Amino acid sequence: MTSLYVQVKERLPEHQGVISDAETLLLNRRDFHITQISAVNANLAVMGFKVGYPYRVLLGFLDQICGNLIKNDFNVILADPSLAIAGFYSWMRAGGSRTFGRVYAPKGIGRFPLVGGLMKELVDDFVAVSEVKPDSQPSKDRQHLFTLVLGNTKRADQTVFAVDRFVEAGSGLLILKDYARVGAFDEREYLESKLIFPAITFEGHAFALKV
Amino acid sequence: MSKQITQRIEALINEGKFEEGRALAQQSGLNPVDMEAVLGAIAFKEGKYQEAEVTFQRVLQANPNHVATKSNYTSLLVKQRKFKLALPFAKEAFDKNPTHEGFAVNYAACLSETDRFEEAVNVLQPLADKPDSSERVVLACAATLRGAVRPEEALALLRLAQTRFPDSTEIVRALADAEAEMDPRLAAMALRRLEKKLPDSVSLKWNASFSELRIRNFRRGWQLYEHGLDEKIGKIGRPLPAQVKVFPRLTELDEIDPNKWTLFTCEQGLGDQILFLGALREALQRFPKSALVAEERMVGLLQRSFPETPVYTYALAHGWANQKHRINGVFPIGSLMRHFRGSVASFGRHRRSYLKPDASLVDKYRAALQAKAPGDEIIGISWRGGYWDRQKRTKSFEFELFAQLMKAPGRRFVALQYGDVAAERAESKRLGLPVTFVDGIDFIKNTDAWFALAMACDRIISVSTALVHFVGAAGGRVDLLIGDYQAPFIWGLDEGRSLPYANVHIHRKSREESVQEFFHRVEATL
Repeated sequence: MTSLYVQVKERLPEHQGVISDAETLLLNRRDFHITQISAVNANLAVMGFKVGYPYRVLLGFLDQICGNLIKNDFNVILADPSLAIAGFYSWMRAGGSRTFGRVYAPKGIGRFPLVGGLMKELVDDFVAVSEVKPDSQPSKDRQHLFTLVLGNTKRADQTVFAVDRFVEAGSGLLILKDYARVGAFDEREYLESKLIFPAITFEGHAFALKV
Repeated sequence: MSKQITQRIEALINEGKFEEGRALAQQSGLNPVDMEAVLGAIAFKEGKYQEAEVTFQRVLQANPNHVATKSNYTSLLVKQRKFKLALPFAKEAFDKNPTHEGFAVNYAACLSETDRFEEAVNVLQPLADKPDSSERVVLACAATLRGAVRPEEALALLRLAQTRFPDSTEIVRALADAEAEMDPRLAAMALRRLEKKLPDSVSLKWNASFSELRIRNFRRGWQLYEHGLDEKIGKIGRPLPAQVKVFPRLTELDEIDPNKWTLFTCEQGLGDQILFLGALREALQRFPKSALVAEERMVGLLQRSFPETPVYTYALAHGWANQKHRINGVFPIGSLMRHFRGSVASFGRHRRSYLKPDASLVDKYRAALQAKAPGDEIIGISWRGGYWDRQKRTKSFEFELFAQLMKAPGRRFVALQYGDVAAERAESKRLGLPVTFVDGIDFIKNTDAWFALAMACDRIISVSTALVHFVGAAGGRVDLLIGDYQAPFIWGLDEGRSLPYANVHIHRKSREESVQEFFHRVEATL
């Protein structure tokens, strides 16, 4: 398929730098996402994952939150297996190990590629601390911990599922990927009914923080 | 601005009484522009450079001819190493008052840093030659003379100055640095004496490491070399990539917990990296749970060369900052030398090839080169080396000199020089030289392809640059051309087979021979 950039480049005015994938076209921006200084890019490359800019932006945000803010034990709720990379990356950046940080994946965690070395240890540990079963959720004694809820919004039930997990958490961060898609069901009412008023990024991610 | 007030404020600032200086300025009814100028000067002295810069810019916007601020602003820019920005201000100040030492030193610093050493010498020499010249001017002048590759004159100036400033450690240090270019043994002795006087000087130890390593005093040299990791040395030392600074830094083998991962991290330029990687395998044998961390362009090549260990990028490692429970920390590969290359004999024992080019690329390039000149010996050449301006001047030989090597039939040359080679390409075309300039490979970004191209050659003739290390570490034949001034320490002081690489042969120009004679001598050995 012809890329978005190729389709419109003839019509573009003079510009310095373009960031583009299938959905995004930004002019006059430097690309700090696909570069050798980006930890996110390096991780995606070594795992062999290919994702678009919106997902990279989301991972970049998680990189900062999890790498610098989470100091104590924590939970990651993977409300949708399509966000397994984000789940793994967040857990790893927060210092996750077999004894620090738990992952709850009621809908599964998908398959991780075969990697070697230190990366293999990390993936193995992530899989080991991931509780994969339909009723998986933090036990009562862990509900007070900072909980990162990663959800998708392709279907209404996905949104509802993620939001409900966030409501149960004592504190944490809710991230809903692809929240602002045109054609998505009207999810905003459901969040507001739970008194959650998320910030929506340009790429269409919803963020809500509870402290 | 009243001169009296200014002097009082200046005195307070010099005594470090910044608050009092500020208070006096505010009480003294200065006009707003002068007030800003004083506050900017105080911020500068306090080390609040950003605040000072903004303030100076505001003053100069209001009064572009504010002399004191122009001078302070120049000093600030020089201090921040923003030489290009400082140059016009420095020139203006110097032109107005060429006998003012501060103006001259600032202007000369700007000229030197923009590779205009001879002009810098012209600025400083009249002041330095005065019988009552200050130590500061003498030191600055000696530095510019060294930059202009006139170390004998620098030495003479400093020796004279030593009679006037017998207690100055700075003069002794500068003398040792200048001496290092002429006679590294004398320099090493001078630096050892100085070290006794200044036992806490990190920069002295760092400088001394090169003299010691150059004279093959490896035990002491590598020990001193560790001081290059000190933040005080900065960019000219061994700064590690920012991304891996989030980890504890290890330099001792007994700090390594073998049950956790150790990240051996590359450091400095590519040539240094390749040299240090010569000791990596011994470390990996001792600590198998290790990874090598490198810049992205080197990952493929290093993974091929060290298949027993994973190779990661700096950015990837950065992402593991909080995985300290499973990572010991970063071990700069330069520090491996202290543990595994402590003697001349240890180099000799491990002089084997350890870098592996992409074999299919080598074959492809070799076939293409052979097709261009069937039956000819294929010789790769590189004539320019160094990162810092001064290094470039002492490491490089003019391309025209290489033409002397091209007279004999049966030789095809391949330009392996990185950077801008447009002038040499045109010259080669004009003279009809048998040199191939390869298009389509970015020698800087595509290291693997550049390396494969070098390995496709029968031999390499090169000045001291990363190319020599790459080919040498892969076992390729290199004729290394070194000038008569200070060369990288690893090449020692002699000619003949190099210490780290079996097939690298050093040709060293003597002071007595001209460059033409030197190239004739090299030609005779080919």
